[in-house]
Amino acid sequence: MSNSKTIRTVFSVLLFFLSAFSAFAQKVSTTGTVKDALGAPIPGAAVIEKGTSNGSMTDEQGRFSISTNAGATIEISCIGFSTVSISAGGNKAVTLSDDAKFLEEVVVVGYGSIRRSTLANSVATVKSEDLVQGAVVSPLQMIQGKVAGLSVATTSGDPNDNGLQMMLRGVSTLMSNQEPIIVLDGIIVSNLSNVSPDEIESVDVLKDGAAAAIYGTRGNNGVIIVTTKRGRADHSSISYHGYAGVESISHKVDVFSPSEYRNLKELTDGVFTPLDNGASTDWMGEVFRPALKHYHNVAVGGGNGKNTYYVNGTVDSRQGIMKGSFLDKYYLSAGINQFFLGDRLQLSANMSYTTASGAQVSEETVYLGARMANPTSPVYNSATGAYSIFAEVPNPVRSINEFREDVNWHNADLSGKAVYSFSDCLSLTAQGRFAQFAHFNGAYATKDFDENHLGGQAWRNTSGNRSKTLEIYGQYLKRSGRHDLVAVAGYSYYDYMVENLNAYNYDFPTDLFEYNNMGLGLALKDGKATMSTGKSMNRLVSFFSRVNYSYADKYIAALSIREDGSSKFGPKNRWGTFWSASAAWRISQEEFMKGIGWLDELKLKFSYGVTGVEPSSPYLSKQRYAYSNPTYMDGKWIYTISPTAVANPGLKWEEKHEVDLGLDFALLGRRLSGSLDYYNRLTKDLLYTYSVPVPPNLASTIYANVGSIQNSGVELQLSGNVVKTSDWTVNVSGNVSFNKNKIISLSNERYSRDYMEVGSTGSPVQKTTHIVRENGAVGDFYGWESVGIKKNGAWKIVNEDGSDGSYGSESSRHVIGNGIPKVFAGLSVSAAFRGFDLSLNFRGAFGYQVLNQYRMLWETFQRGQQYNYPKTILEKPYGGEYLIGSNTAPSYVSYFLEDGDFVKLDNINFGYSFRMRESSVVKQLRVYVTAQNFFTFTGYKGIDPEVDFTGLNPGVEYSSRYPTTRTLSMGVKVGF
Amino acid sequence: MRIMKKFFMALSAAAILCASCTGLDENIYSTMTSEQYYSNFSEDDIPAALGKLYSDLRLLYAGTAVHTGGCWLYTNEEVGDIWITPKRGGAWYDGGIYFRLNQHKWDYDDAHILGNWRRAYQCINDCNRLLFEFGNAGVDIPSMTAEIRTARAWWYFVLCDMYGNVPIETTYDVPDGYLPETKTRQQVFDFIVTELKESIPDLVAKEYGRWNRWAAKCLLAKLYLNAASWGVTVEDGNAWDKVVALCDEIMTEGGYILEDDYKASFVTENEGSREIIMAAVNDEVYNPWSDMPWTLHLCTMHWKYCYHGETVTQYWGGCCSTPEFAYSYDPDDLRYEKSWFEGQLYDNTGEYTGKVGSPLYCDPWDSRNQGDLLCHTKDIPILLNEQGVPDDIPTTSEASGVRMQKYEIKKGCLNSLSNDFVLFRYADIYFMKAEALYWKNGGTATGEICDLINEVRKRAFVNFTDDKKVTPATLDNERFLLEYGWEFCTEGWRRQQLIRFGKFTTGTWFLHDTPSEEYRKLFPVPRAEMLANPKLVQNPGYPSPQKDA
Repeated sequence: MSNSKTIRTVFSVLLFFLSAFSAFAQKVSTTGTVKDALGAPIPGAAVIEKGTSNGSMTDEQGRFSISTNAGATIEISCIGFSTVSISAGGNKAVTLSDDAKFLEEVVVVGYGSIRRSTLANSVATVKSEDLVQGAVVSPLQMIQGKVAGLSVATTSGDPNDNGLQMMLRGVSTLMSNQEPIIVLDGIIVSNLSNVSPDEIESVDVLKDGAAAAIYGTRGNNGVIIVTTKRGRADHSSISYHGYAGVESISHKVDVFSPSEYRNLKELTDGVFTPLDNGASTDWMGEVFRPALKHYHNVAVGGGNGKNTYYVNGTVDSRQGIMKGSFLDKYYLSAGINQFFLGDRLQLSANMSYTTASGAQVSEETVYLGARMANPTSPVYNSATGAYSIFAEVPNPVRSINEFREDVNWHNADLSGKAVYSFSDCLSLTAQGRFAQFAHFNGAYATKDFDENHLGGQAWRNTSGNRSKTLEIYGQYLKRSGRHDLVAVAGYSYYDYMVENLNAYNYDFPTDLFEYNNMGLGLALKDGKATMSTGKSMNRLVSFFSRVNYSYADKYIAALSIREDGSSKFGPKNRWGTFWSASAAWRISQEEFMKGIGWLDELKLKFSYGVTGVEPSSPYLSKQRYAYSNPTYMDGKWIYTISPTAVANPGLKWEEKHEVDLGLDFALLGRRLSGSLDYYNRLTKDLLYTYSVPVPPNLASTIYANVGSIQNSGVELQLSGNVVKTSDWTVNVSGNVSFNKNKIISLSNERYSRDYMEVGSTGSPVQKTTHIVRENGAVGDFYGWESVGIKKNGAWKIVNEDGSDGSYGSESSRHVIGNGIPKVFAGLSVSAAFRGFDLSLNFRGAFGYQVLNQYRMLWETFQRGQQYNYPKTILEKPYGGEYLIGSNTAPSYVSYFLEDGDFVKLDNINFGYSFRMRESSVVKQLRVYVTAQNFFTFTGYKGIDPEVDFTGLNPGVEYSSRYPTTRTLSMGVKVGF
Repeated sequence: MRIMKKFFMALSAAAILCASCTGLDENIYSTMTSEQYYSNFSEDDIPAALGKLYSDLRLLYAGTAVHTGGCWLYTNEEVGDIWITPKRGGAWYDGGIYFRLNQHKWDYDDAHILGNWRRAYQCINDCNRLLFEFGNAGVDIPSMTAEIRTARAWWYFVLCDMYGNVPIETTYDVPDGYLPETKTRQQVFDFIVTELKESIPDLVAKEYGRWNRWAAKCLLAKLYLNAASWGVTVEDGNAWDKVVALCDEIMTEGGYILEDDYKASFVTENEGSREIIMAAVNDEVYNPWSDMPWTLHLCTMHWKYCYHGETVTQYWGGCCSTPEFAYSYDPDDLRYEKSWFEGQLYDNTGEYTGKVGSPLYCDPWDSRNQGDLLCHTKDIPILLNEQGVPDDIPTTSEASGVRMQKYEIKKGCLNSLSNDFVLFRYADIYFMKAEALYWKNGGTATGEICDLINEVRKRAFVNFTDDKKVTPATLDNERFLLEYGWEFCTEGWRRQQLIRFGKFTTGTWFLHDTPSEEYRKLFPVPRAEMLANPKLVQNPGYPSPQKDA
């Protein structure tokens, strides 16, 4: 495109937008009174000229006055009432009726939806307008901080893996996967990689065990139900959303600059003499960059009454802040929905396809390398021109330049659904899904990568998985008089298969071909190349049913049951039963409550539910044999065959029993609403690898069901419509949750252990970090409590009872903190003024510690003179006389265990929506700026106190972490 | 529950499109189930099944984390007076595990204690399983049964030596919930003797790297040699006589020779050595990193040795010889250089310094030796801190100490050695016979004893003059132990030798500066195993776990 043509194009687009702005015409005045159905005046109702931000409010007597364009439509609305439109001019008497829709808000609960008013469970709903609007990487980030009890943490800035960690109501399992399952438009999926953030309509989180029980053996960690936008029958639209932004490291940990480093002898009173290699290198600058990202989404949707359709396409391109890393993703989804047979039969089909390509660098060494490398060392050896070589960690520039892994994956998801309505009451639904994921990665380390003299190394690995789901269920809905019944019963089939191939070769004649000519490595000829393949499957078959009943919208009861059969369970325990019972009482519906005007809703709810977790891998219940460990027999090398592990034919699911007691309320004309929940969840038959004696067992461990964990807590969710005037709207919503975790037992009559130590401090400290112990809590740090530093450089250690102890001694070791926050909180503020809107999202976590691994391993000059150090090394521990000198070996002491408490201003979004004329082609135009992970208020000294809170060794910021990022971006949304 | 399921099935039966969709059978693709294995078993599968005995044998010394996790070779050498793994700068402390081994302060939680126990029983289990499986499959080859029983006897020998009182388990298909109980050392000893005596007649005469008749006889001789120091009695006769008789059989009928070159049994391609009676076979290609690598070279050599030795792999550089032992060699003893690496490291590739042949220097792991020449010395000076005293944990330079190179580290070698690991060799037969005669003679040397030792010593000297020979006047306990060390260092037998000569708990050496308690001659039953099996009895002197209520 020539320059002049570009300018012409830009110009015409600008003109087009300008022409769309509404022009002002002649004014008319309208007055009136607004009353409710009983004739009482309604104060505070909004009176707005439709399509504009021009408006006013009714006064105490319900009176209003507004000046508008002639012929305009005026909308009168108030929370709790249905909106009424009137034409401009004259004096109007307006009556608002109770908003049936408000009460009729429906909640998706799995295999159907029910009215929120008749819900007896703890289910949080986040609507599209409440989702975090920003440069999010995953749709799940859009509910960060929005749901009490659900922690969603972004732990990495890697564009290929955002390290998103979810935890609902504490750690209730010993297994590695603790994340809620995700149900996308009715069907369980393994992730949301096929969904672009713009497609999300709403997210429902089934929090209590009773709500999740309909998902049986997959429901233990809760259920996140995602509903996507699917086109509307009455309205065709095209919309575009795009943004561009720049990412930077969220917080740089300070290390010494070259000049500060040279000055260290003075700064440390002679304790440390730096090794001056003569150069000045900004290692951080060598490996990090401001990373650019841009995102474009086009959505088309519509329908003609009998059908709806949608097509959604997205391009998401992201550089990583580490040079060389990036990810480009392309999404396409489309669907159609059509009614037949006089609307009795509804058929729909959806497909989505995502393809991604990107690159990763050897990030585990790069950032640490940039902090450790001596700032006076050159990147390249001046004598040879080769990369400078450092002990223990590779030269970070070499790591970036000489190694790269190309990432390619694609995901196809096809689903179809048929709903046949026999009558208004009875319908039958059949839905199926076929999904296929495949990745094909290639990595290459050049001849210059390391000192191993391997002459170039190449890896290729690919894996693919296929899943098939078929679900058939009938639904019966009957509302008769004061009785309201919803019943569901059905069958579900799920089949999963995964296979993979990995190859590795080295010693190539040239770096030129990278991994594209794998056979060329001589290691293959020498028998040193490796190759592996594998394949496995599992299957889950279920029968389920649920009945919801309410009487007079006042007394509510629900029962559900699911029978799950899994191929992963042992032959003795093929089928498990999961059930729930719930009840609620809408006190506000009682006659005696009618007089209380400020109280709109008060609902007491109680539920009990049983859910499960499947073992993570298939085949654990079977005794298997495998070929391994070649040996020399009868004059040649052969593979030997032997059993792989101890089989457990009694293996079954983990079982969670959860009680939830809650209160839902709405006050002051529903301007303040919320819910308060108490829960107590007990997980038994915990799945874990247990020690068994050898002999008689074949191996020293077995995967078995032993022990129990308890989590109990309180959650409060509040949302308020603080200000609502014709010009101003301010909404505030917030949530806070407290959780207490306790390990009840790690033993049963067959297997016993009183504790296990997990996690690793890494070399050279070589200790375990956490203890999992009966009567303790998951996440307990198990180390040595330091109180000072002795003159000889050794840590002053105290025992649990406060007496003097010594580092390394097991009797001095005790629990010195916990890595899982006891309190999570979120606060969202959104304000709108005329066309402007502003939203702020705050998030916080409190009552936990973070083990700062980088400081623990590197905050001592004992590591030697060729390294750089964190500036915190100059602090004198506990305000003592001595800083950490050259005699202090890196130690796992509480000095490096920092309070992690933080408040994040997680997201700021500031936008302006232009006023559009009714006749304008452009229906919607909004521009905005947004900041993601903007600022963290914390005393923590590392990169980001939001670390992985899941698993058995939570709360450790590993020194090899890919730093989290802060993103600033600008975007535009256009609707036609 | 059944009724409920039927109810559901009836409810949705009309809608179920595929009747087969309740099947929960697993398809298994890349491994096989025991049913598949048993039902398809044929004679062709025998070598792969039996081969497990020999891949198990590699557990004595191989693996990626043997230095920290423990195995027979490392544990039995680290506790003795020849090996030491000192703390170097901030490295090689590893929670004090090497110090505790060397100073005899190990506790029953230590990885070495658990590692050796588990490795031995894992292998015993494999033997029991093979006997069970072959029995079920109707495979009845007496030589093979004898081979499996001999392999099992070896692992019980290891347990009897290290832990003494242990369970004897010979069945594979034990009932659910069965737990074996501790047997006395005498019972374990008698069991091994019986197993070997019954097996020997059926064993094949000779096959490299297999439990053949001579290897079994050598094992039986070792058993008798240790009987006195283990405090067990031998039923039918004098243990020393039995050692001598077995050694004589091997010497007259075995067909083994003493190689002219001491190194011949330890070079990369040592499988041709006619001195080797029993070895575990290694190959850098067939036993790579992922398949239990043989990593002694990585544990001992400095990380810059890759430039000196022009090898592909990288090194960790921890263990070395104690100064006393390094200095104990006769200056003319060729075995010193064949066993230990002393001296300066050079950049023979030119990749590190840019100039081929440049000397290499210490890294600043520790400021106190930063910039020193990277020269391995017999001395292991303990670094002093600013106050002029050693650190709380004695720390030395990354350069100090001479390194193990008895097993040749070939140019271009990978992270797993190809040298076969020598378990029994002919020179040991000379020593065992000499020692048995020595003890039978009340701990006094005779000409015959000295001749046996000198026969082995001969090849260690260019000119084996009279002054290089041991004589009844010079051969006392101390000298006998030194002779053992010079000849058999780094072969995993040091702890046994020290115990037999009474020095293990009474002697002091280098950082092991105080004698240890008598009960340290046995290792404790690991804590994890005590917790898992309440029928186990702890060895005297060691604690038993108090299980939390």
